[in-house]
Amino acid sequence: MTLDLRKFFQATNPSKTLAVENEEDQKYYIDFSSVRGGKIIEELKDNITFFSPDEPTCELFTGHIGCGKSTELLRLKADLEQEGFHVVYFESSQDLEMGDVDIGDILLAIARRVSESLEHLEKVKIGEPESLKSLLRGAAKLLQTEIELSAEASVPGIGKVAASTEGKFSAEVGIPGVGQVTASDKEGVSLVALGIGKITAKAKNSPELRSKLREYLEPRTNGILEAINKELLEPGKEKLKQQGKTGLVVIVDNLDRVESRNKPWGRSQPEYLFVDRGEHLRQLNCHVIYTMPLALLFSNDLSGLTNRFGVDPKVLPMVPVKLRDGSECAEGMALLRQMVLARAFPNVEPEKRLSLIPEVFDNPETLDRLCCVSGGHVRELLRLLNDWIKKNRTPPLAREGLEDVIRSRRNQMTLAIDDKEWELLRRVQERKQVSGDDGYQVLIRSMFVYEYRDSEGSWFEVNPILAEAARLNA
Amino acid sequence: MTTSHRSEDVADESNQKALEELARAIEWNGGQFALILARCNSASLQKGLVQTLQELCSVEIRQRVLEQSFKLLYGNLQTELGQNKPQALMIFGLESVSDLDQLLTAANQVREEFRKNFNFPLVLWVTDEVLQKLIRLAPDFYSWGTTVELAPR
Repeated sequence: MTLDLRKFFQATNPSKTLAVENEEDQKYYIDFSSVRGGKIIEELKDNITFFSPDEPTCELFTGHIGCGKSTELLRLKADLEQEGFHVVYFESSQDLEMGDVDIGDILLAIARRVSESLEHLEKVKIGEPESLKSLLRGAAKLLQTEIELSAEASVPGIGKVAASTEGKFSAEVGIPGVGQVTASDKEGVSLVALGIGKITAKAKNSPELRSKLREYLEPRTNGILEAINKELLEPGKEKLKQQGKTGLVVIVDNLDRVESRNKPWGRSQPEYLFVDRGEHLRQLNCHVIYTMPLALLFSNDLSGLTNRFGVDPKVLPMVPVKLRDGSECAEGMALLRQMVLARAFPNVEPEKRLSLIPEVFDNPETLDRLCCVSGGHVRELLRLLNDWIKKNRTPPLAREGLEDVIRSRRNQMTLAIDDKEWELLRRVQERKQVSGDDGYQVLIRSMFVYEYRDSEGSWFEVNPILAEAARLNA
Repeated sequence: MTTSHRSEDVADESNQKALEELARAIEWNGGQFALILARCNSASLQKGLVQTLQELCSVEIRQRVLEQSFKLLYGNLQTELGQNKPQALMIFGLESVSDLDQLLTAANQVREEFRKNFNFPLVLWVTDEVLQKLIRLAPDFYSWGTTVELAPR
């Protein structure tokens, strides 16, 4: 079996996230759970399906950039759906201005996504969400968006309004990120979705409107929570159950991307949202999983965070290529080899793929070098591989090309590192630990330092590509 | 004299290779989003390289030079392109954008939008200074990118 280099190249595009519901993508998926400090996704699933199907739960999920969080969350979604749950998964970065987020924004984003999702289910009709609508009407008035939150009325001022032959009005409203929404014959939850969409779209693009909206929403936070719970989540769950569903789960992805900049009063945004306001985040009356910034794990407020949520954040660690003592992690390496080979030969059985290594690489050691130097960072591995493939017209891929790619990556990384950081990196290399120093948060965020976990807890390593830098070992 | 000639030849040869690599990456990525960084510190070199690239590449590459006031890499490009999506898009002038920090931070936040709506390779020409900011301010977006290095003679 010969390798289709172009297909292999496309399958290693580092900007791609695997979607488990896609049959082709399933073939690429490798289950790393055995080497990732326990079955985190299974734990999340069990907490919902087994321990608490009826009582709401709230979980925090985090991990390094590109270690496969979204892929795993999408798998969790599919698993939960198999168990009969209705799952609303969304990328919060679409709804929120990540430099400037407040609790009300997150709650409204959830309300909107749940409404939209229920609306798409036939026969899930729930009562008029009166207080939510009135809240939105207040907000809309404040922002001077003329959203008429009643069932049959037209929506003046925000799009073309056309009267149909029956004398009913319909309006085409373009909402960024949602596309065209027709407001005719809408009622209840659809109008909530429409209203929130319109309001957030306006607020997202204007700091002034955002702060106006904040002033309005902030004192009403409890009211908003109650309205969402009573008028949306509870009746929604009720209807879902009548349809044979087990419950409702909301997965808020990308919330780990809220910027770490300080709020005007000096508190960092992640600490403000997850620690100071964690209390509000966990009060929604359904199962919710929030992604949170990894850096919070190294914050002095970690215990405050754990207290607020009553659970430890679940961390998706890197795939280990080495054990704590520096020796090779055979299982991690074997899975990474499989990950690479699956992208080359998706239709071949895992055991048989190993015999095809010569079709792809000049030498099995070359493949091992790739896996090792990736540090077990899934996306980084794909990126190195993708960079390397394009240097070749025909397989097999030669070691020399890989070393070129590694040199180039190291060179790019060192561009960004200053003297103080070299010092911090040297310390990581020596102690395998990081302290509460802010400098380390930046090193982790920039992928210069990786965190690993085993049964004894976590340890840290300098990104292997950097670890080979002469400067570090001087 | 001979030495300087030789280093010129080496630069030419490695640039030729790099351009072939870039052309291949653009062609092979046809129809899907990909972020490709063309690392080049010399604006004067760029022009000649781009011409050679277009000769090498079977895909038509649209070019866009950003003006100083350019704000949103995704938002503004999406509006400009509308339904008229190119087969490949090459962006110049990032180094002269006045609020580059903001542009990169914003691009990082909406990176999924690129993937969803730009079903073509996006090539950003970057100087070392831009690259450094990209690594710092847009680590998620940067982690999607592959690089082609072009050396000045």
